[in-house]
Amino acid sequence: MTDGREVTPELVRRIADEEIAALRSSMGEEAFRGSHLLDARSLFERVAWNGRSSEFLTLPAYTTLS
Amino acid sequence: MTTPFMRAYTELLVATCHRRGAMAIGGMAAFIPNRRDPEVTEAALAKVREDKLREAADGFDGTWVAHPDLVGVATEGLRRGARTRSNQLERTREDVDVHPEDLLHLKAYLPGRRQRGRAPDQTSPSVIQYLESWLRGTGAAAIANLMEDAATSEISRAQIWQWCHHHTR
Repeated sequence: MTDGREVTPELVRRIADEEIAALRSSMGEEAFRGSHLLDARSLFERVAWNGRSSEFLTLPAYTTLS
Repeated sequence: MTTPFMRAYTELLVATCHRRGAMAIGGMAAFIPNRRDPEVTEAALAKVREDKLREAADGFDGTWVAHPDLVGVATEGLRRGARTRSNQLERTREDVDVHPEDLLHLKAYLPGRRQRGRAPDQTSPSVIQYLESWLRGTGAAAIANLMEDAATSEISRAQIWQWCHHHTR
């Protein structure tokens, strides 16, 4: 991290939560509900630190589309 | 683009293409102009100009831009660097001496050490916003004055994955 803390899944998860909260308050509740931010958030979790790294970011993303 | 392994790949690309008589096409600088913010636009134009001059000097024949407003500056950069010839196929770059190990010069990414540059608190928001855009059907999205595509997000999420798994600070 820029402040020297070790990068951990918990830390990245907290950053993602803060980002979602900030976007939610800046775009308003209605726009937030119409967006795919929650799906994007869970996809991010699957590809950015969970288990084995998946080969391509878009592979799990396609399953979210259908 | 000037880190050693990136440098090795661009040099090898020009030499390989020209040895076979193929045009070498340069890459995309992610900086994009913002029609509502002249300062952002000016900075983007300067960065793209510098990038295209480097490509032209290296022997590239053409290039790729992230935004239509960049066509002018890219054309100018390439023309200047290529001295108005329409291509540089005759520059076979026999001086290029790149070996497989140069393409894998990744010491900066050893466990525990984070390369200078963006940290997770800076990359995560872009990845989430990009994925949201992708799920809406837009595969290239302007986020924080940079053109983000799947490749950028792919690199960012791979870095975050590696940082998490190698106890990086």
